[in-house]
Amino acid sequence: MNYRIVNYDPVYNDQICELEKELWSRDLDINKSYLRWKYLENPYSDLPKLYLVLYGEKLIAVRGLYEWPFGLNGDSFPALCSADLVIHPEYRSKGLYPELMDFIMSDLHDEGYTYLLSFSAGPTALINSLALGWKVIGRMKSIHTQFYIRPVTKKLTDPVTVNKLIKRVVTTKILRKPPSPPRIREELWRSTNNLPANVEFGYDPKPGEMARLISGLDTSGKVVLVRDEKYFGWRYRNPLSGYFFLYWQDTELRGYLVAQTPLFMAGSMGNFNVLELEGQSPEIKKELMKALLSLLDFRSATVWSGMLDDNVRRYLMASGFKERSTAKSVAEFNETVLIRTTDKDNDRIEFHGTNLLDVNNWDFKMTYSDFY
Amino acid sequence: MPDPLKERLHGFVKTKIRESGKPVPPDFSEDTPIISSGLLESLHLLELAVLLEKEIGSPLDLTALNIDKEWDSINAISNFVERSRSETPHNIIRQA
Repeated sequence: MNYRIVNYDPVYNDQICELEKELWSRDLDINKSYLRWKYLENPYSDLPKLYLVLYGEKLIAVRGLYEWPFGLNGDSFPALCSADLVIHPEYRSKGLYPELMDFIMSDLHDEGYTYLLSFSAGPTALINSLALGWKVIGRMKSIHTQFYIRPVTKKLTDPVTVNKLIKRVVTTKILRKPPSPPRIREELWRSTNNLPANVEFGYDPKPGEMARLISGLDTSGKVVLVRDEKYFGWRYRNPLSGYFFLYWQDTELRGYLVAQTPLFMAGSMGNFNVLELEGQSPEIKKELMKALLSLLDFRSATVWSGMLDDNVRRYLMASGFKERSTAKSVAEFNETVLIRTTDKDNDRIEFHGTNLLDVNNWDFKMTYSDFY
Repeated sequence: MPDPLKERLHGFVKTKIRESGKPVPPDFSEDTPIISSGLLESLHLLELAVLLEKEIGSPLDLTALNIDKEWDSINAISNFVERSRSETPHNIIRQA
C-alpha cells in the first residue's frame, strides 16, 4: 500500500478531528477544541507530537503523544504519553500499526526522548503494544460506589430526598438518560451549602496555590508527575470533561480534591472520578473525601486505591465503596500503565538507578491518565 | 504422535491468516515467524491472547509477557503455554 507517515501539520486538523470521532466525541467542533487543548496548548511541548499516516492526501491513521515531565527526588525527565491511536476501518489489518510505531520510535529517539508511557490502552491496543516491546508497570485497582446514599436514617425521613432518589433511579437506571452537564453543575452547586467551614467548592483550579502545596509534600522517593503552576493552569481545561474542586484551607491551602465527570461518554456521565486527593495530613484528605460524599447524593464515584492513605481507604470502604473486581482476562478492560524506551539497543528501563518497571517506585494518580 | 496443543494453534493461526485475506505460505511450519513477519494481524493478537488464557487456565501475567519473543511461532507459543501451565500462580498481576 502506498502511504506515507508524516509529522503533524495543521492542514490536516479537520481530518484528524473527523477520524478521532471514534475516540473523542461525535462533534467536530468539540474535537477541534480537544485537539487544541491536548496538543497545541500543552505547556510542556513546543510542537505537537502527532503522527499522521496519509494515503495520497487522505488521513488514514493518527497516533498522538502528549508530553509530561515526571520527577524523582528533585530531578525530572520528559515522558511522552501515547494516546489517540485511530486507524481508518478500511486500512486496519494491513500492518500499518507496527510500521507507524517504528517510525515514531526512531523519530523520538532522534529528538532525544527516552521514555514513553501509556495510560489509556484498551485490550487490543494493550496486547499489540506488548507485541511491539512495551512493558506493563501495573494494572490500576480502583474502588467504586455505584449509587452513593448518605446515612439512611437522615435521608429516608426527608420526602424531598426520597423524591430525588426515585427521580434519579428512573432517569439513570430505567430510562438510562444521563443528566445534562449544566444540570449536574447546578445540582452540585446547590449541595455545597452542606460543606464544612474549611472546605470550599469551585469549578476552577487555583494553579499557584495548588502547585505550592504539591511542592511541599513528601513524595518519598517515588516517581511522580511534576505538577507545577503550568500544569494546573492547563490540565483541567479539557473540553471532554467537567471538573470541580474542593479546597481545604485556613490561612492557606492545605489540601485539595479534583473530581471529574466525562461530558460525552453516555455510559459514564454522572460518575465522578477522583483524579487527585492531596493534603498536608491524612485527616485533611479524609475531610475532603467526606465533603465529596456529601455532594455525591445518589451519584457514583471511582478512585484508584493506590492514591489513598489507609485511613481514607478504610473510611470509604465503611461508607459503601467496594473494590472493583480485577480483570479476569486480557480481553476485559482494566486501566494498565505501560512503558517502553525509544532505545532499541538498551532495554533497561530505569532513571537514576530506579527501576521504572516496578510499580512500587511510582505514585500514580488518576490525573495522569488522558481518559480523564 | 501429533501434539493436540500445536494442532489447535496451527488451526487458529491458519484460519486468522486466511481471514485477513492472505494465503498461508506453502512452507508454513511450527517455526515460521507469525508476528514479526506480519502474518498474524494486530486484531488477531487479542484473540490469540484469549485462546492462550483458555489453554493455560488462568489470566495471563501481563507484567512478565514478552510477546515479541514468546509468541512469534507455534513452537514458541507451545513452549510458553507449557511453561505457564507449570508455573503457579499464573494470575499474579502487579497492581497499584
